[in-house]
Amino acid sequence: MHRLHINRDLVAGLMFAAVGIAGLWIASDYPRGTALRMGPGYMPVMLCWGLILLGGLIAIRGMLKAGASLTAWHLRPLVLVLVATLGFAVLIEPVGLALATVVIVLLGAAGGREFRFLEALALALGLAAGGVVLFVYGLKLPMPVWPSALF
Amino acid sequence: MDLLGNIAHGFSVALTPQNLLFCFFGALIGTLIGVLPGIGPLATLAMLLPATFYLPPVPALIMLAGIYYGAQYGGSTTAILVNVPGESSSVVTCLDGHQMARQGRAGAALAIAALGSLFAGTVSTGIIAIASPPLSELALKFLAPEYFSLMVLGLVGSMVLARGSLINALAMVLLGLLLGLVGTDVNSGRERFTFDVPVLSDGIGFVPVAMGLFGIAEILVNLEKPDNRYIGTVIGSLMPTREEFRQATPAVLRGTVLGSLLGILPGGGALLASFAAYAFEKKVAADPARFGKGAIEGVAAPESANNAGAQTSFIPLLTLGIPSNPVMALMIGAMMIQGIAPGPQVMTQQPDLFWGVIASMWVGNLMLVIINLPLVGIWVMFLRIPYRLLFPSILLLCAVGSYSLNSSPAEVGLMALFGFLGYVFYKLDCEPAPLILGFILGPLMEENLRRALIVSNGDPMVFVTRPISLTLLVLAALLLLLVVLPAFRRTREEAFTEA
Repeated sequence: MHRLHINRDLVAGLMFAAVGIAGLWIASDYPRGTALRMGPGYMPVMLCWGLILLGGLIAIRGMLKAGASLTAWHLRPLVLVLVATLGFAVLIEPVGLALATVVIVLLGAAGGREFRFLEALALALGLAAGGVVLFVYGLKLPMPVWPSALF
Repeated sequence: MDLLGNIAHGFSVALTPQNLLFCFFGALIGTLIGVLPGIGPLATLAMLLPATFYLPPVPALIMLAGIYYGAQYGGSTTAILVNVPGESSSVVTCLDGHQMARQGRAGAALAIAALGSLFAGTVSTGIIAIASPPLSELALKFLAPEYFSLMVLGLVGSMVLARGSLINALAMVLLGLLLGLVGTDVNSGRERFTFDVPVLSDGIGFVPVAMGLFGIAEILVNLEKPDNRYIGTVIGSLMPTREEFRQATPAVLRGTVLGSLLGILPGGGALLASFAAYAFEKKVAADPARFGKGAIEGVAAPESANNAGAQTSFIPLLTLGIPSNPVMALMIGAMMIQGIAPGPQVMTQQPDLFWGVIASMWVGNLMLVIINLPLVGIWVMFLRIPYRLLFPSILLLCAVGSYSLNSSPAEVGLMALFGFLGYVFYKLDCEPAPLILGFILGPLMEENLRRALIVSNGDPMVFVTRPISLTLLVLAALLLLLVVLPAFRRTREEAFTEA
């Protein structure tokens, strides 16, 4: 008798099915239409049922045979890299490219295996200067460089 | 002959000083980002796309194309010297290329990779020139049912060639198609899955999706592993021995053919061309045990194949206006910026652009051999940058790239979200490539399905009664059947477990 395996397939299958169910629920008030005159809900509903079906199959297959087991998540890089990226998104318009660069590089570097603060700071300042020259003056990408309050 | 006239016209366009210069820029930037692991053509094109607005169309597209195939050259340098793929399409080159480097034959491996790529680039440039006119002709007959069936074929192709389980790949395709539908429905004006978030009302941009799933997720995955790169310092003689030439030549030929074919397939491109070529080479080798221990065929075949595939993947773009991978989707974006609608009419309405870009590919390949072989020492310097300095820089480039395309901070946030999802998919063994293709093709497929069914009065038989559409669907079915066959299935699994 097999034990219930919590493995990658089971989790992946449940994930697909959950997206399908959520999608069906959200799309429930989109006009469905007919095959001849498809409404905005036609394709989404078909795709969601497909996801539920396949997700179910994947999950069942995962339960029946021992698949690859789940591996631990490394939270430090995950959180710091994502927070760094979000920080850049929040800061780029109010404080400009130079400071947003320092934030994303410092926070991102802190997510690495070996974090040396002074080295990371030097990198951040170097990239901020290089980035402003390359992106704003070189490629003429439209973005603020300094905090808008300064000008 | 017309073909020769067209090619001559292409060269007269490609060889103007301005176009030569931008071709060189493209090749140079492509090599640089190819050498640097973690930063690929996608992020680079996204950053350069807004800047191409200031350029005329021909040099803009010549440069962007150069970046894509140039990255295939640069990627092999990193694979051979450091055992890290500089580009995802160089993953299999690591296996034998790096072993050659450890045996002091790095120079020969680099030379064979570059010369094989040049040969493949020459052949596939010719294939594009020969195959595009009849395909454009054919494409003019395409109506909604044919476009729909062609996209079905492409999606099946991406599933078959994704690593891991087929049913996971199918689920990823559906998820991608669903993500592609987010935004305002063009027919009814109804917003779907937007949750009243403004950035979603025009649909999710594929640049944040692709850079999140590939760029950011790769950083997250890499940070889990220790940075134990072995950097081969001794490059040795660049001249391969007579014996090495004898072994590499047929492998280059096979890799070129296989790569060119797989590149044309929607969903194809450099990545799967290299995998397939390596697997095939091992299959036909007299002594497969040599592979993984520095067999030169294991470098020659995939490196020829990825360059051939990178170039022939322009065929669906130039003749049908259908992007076969995210890089090609960005090329469509570049054409739109210039006011050119991609599709079969480009060849007749913009002959300068069409033939100029094709001819520039051959010129670019020639430049790349020079950029990569004699100057390899310069690129080695970049390889000495430790990952702890490299990845924050890559992160910054991704953020700037996703911001600058539409000056939208929300797209940077979306990229972070998809970076997280990419990490989850990695943990669950779900390959993101089929998702991305489904995502790009989702809106196009829905539109063509709708149109096809309106024309046929809601009769789904329209897809099988029209001969071209039927042929495409039969091809898709055969492809699926092939995977279910045990013999092919085993080869497919072997090919992917090696990498």
